[in-house]
Amino acid sequence: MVTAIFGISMILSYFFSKSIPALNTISNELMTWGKIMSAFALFLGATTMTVSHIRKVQGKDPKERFLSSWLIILIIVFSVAGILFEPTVGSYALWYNVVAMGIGISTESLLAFYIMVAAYRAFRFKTVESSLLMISCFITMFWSAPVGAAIWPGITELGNWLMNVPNKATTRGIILGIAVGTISLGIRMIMGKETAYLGGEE
Amino acid sequence: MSIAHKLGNLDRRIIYVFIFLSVIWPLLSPIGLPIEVLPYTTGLYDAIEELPAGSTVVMSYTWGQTELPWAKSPTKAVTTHLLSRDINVIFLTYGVTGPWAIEYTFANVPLISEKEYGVDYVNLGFIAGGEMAYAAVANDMWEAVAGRDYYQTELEDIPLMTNIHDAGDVDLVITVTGGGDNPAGHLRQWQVPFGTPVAIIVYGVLFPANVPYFPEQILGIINGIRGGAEYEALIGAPSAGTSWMDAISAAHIVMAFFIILGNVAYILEKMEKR
Repeated sequence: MVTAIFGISMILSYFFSKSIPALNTISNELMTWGKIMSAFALFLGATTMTVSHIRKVQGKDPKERFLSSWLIILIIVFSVAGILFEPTVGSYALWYNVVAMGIGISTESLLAFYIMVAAYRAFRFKTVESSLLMISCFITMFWSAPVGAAIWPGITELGNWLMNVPNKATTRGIILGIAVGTISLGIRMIMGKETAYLGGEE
Repeated sequence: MSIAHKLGNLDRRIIYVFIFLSVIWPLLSPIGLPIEVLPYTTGLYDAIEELPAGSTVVMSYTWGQTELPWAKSPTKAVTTHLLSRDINVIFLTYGVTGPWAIEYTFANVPLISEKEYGVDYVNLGFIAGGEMAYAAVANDMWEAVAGRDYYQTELEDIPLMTNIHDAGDVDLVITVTGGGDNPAGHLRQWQVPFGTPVAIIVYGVLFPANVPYFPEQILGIINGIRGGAEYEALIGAPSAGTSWMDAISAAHIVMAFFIILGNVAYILEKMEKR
């Protein structure tokens, strides 16, 4: 019932808020509630993760205990230091930038090596589909790097065609399919037939 | 073990070494290949060129430290272009690492030091809630940020925000994202109800998924590092993006070489089995 009332209110306000100002007021209030719950969900997620790692520290696997201990120490140190000191300037910001930026960028950089090995192992002329995938991969690779146009100027036109014709057509189909699925899921939730989000059976 | 089998099952460490060298060498010794500017980038550039001085643009960030390698170049180039045309910029973020990204932009765009906070640009900070947050900001910006900016200054004391209350008061929204439904969410919550033009700066992987919206719904798509390098060429300020394109070119050549090598090995193995 609550889902139905809130869902229908938001749908009506999206289409009729300019002609019925009361709907605008209701939707703004609901969105404020939603923002508060989202912010609390972030806090809840961090707390749940910390509790999960505390349990791992109490477990038997030495590798898990080490990694979880290290994570909990980082959480405590940065949280306490962030509350006591100004988090956007000075030593705290320097340490945060060095640790977070270093770890984040390093993790992303590893992808380059894994993708290279995966491409070398997977892109083979085994089937028609894999061959088409490999050919489009080659076109996209050289279309997106300046060396492609330096080797053959026509790659720009070919890459643009690949993006604007086959890619656009198939992606539009996928977008429409997702939209239809989202609408049907929303209707099921409003009618009370979908209870998975409440922890019920799917 | 035949040569074909060895070629098709190279030790991955050999590939790692080639990739490492192909990326490092052009960074140390740039080649300077010309970069062709594509229509996806000129779409945003032309849109900003057509905005009169004093217009207001919202830069909405959903990126952080992990996305820095691809986001640094385009965000710096676009922010520099906006400020050089005396366009007011409202920075806000929907990601938890966004406040860091906004502060990083302030520290790395030299033109910021010539502008006045609160008059030429403002930081509204983080708004939680995903697409609900996009809708909340679009419908009532003041209410969405509880009437204060990121530094807890009342919006009434910020001259830039005096006439900016909803998406209808904004001339362009540029969203920078490394994932999720952020671009389409802005189309649904900003463009459809209020008619606000939308442009995006996205990670390369997200580029094909957003091409269907170009150019009717999304004015311009900046495609990661490549888009950043193109934008730097357009504004005449080559920087990180331009220098990194040589490394990307070299890496792609190495990747093509290994793919061809793998297929040659595969064909030779099939011929041996016959």
